[in-house]
Amino acid sequence: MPQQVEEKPRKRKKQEKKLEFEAGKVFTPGEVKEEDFELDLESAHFRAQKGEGGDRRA
Amino acid sequence: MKKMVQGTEHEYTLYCRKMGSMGFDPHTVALDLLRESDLHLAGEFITNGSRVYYDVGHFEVSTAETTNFHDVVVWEKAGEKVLDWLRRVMEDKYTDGATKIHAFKNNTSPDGTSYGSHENYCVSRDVPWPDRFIRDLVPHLSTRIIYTGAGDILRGKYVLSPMAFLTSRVISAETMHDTGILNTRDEPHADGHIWRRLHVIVGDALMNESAAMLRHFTTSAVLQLMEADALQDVPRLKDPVRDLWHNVEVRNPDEWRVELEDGTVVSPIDIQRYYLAKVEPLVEDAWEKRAFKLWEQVLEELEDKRSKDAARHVEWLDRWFAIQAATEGKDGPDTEMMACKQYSEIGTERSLFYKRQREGLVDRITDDETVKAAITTPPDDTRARLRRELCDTFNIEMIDWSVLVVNDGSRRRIDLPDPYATKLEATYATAG
Repeated sequence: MPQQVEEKPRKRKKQEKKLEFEAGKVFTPGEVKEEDFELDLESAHFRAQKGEGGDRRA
Repeated sequence: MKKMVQGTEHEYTLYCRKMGSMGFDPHTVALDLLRESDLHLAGEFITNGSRVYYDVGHFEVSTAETTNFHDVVVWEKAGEKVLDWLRRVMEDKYTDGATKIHAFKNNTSPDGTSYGSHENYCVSRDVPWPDRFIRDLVPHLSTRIIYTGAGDILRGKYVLSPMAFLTSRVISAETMHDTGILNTRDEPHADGHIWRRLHVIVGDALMNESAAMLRHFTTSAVLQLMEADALQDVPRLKDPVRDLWHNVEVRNPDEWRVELEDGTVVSPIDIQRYYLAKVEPLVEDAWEKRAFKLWEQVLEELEDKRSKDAARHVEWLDRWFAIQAATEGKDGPDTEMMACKQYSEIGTERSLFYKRQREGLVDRITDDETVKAAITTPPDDTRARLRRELCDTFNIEMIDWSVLVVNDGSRRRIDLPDPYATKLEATYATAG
């Protein structure tokens, strides 16, 4: 009879990742290029999609 | 203080002016990019143990399990930075930097819709529900807004806390309307015989690290006292929702009020000082001493109306000052609303909050290096570390907070019912 071979644990296959996290994009405290603080009307009027602002009684 | 597993969930809103005409939804594109990146771990989880997913028009980040009031702030900030990175990648990749993609960490949009920013605390199942929570916790949750409120403009009024403004019940199962100071949702993601997950939905999205730390320090300390039934003499509030509605619209501390069951009217500062005295004996290590001192200081600053000092760690005050500064000399009905929203942008180059942080006007409790490390590393004293280890070891067929199905030659289910466990009790059979 053929000897039963115990299956080895399957290690995680490392997947090739297309995108690498770049900390430098978000952690540059000394190099922040401040945009003009002219207020952006469009972004302030964004519409979110959840809830109805609650149901606060007057 | 003892360790208490806790975390936060934030629904971030992304906005792009050309979103419709460009034919993409930045929320889903950001998630696609995340899944293709080296921050992705398995399923909806990322390498730092947090869970990131799409939720009804939002990009939601649930932090990894942390065991204390300061780590939770670090991992929350790490989640914010992950989204900020994705936002910048999208700007470069899809618009050549020509179109701004905005990401907001707040709770309302000007059309009146609201969205969540929730805290979760792993509490002993032995604490009677809901009676003990109504008696001991509601007075805390309904008065802590004086220092945990993020500030917002709703229906033309400046309010201390948008989520408190939108609350209409003492207790409720709802999360989108008719919400309560206490929310009854109980998905423990752990052994439900031992733990309840207290889901706090009356809090706001906070940018300020000190304010977030204070919120978690005070609330986890109160919960620890509740587990010991040490708050039997807590002040009983006559009508907490009515007082919440009053206080949330009042910026002058002299006009804040809370009515007790016997008709006595006190200040929410008095209620907070009751808890302060109860928590003092729990304070042991340096972090606890720091947070306790800050709590004491904030109450004094509010009482003395030293608003510029308090604004360093009280977000509703700092947002108010930021709005005044940004709109000075600018007319128009929408300018204050615009500044209010722009305060909550997470992009450091546009955010009014981060501008103030760079100017040293608000206090931090951590630093960029610590947050950077937390983007790729789970907390080392919770189940998040174990999940990461299992994911690094096996092919994962299914993953959730407390269960994984791994493929180690055969399909195997591994339950993780203890959120504090960093090792499996029994060695998983074929791991080698």
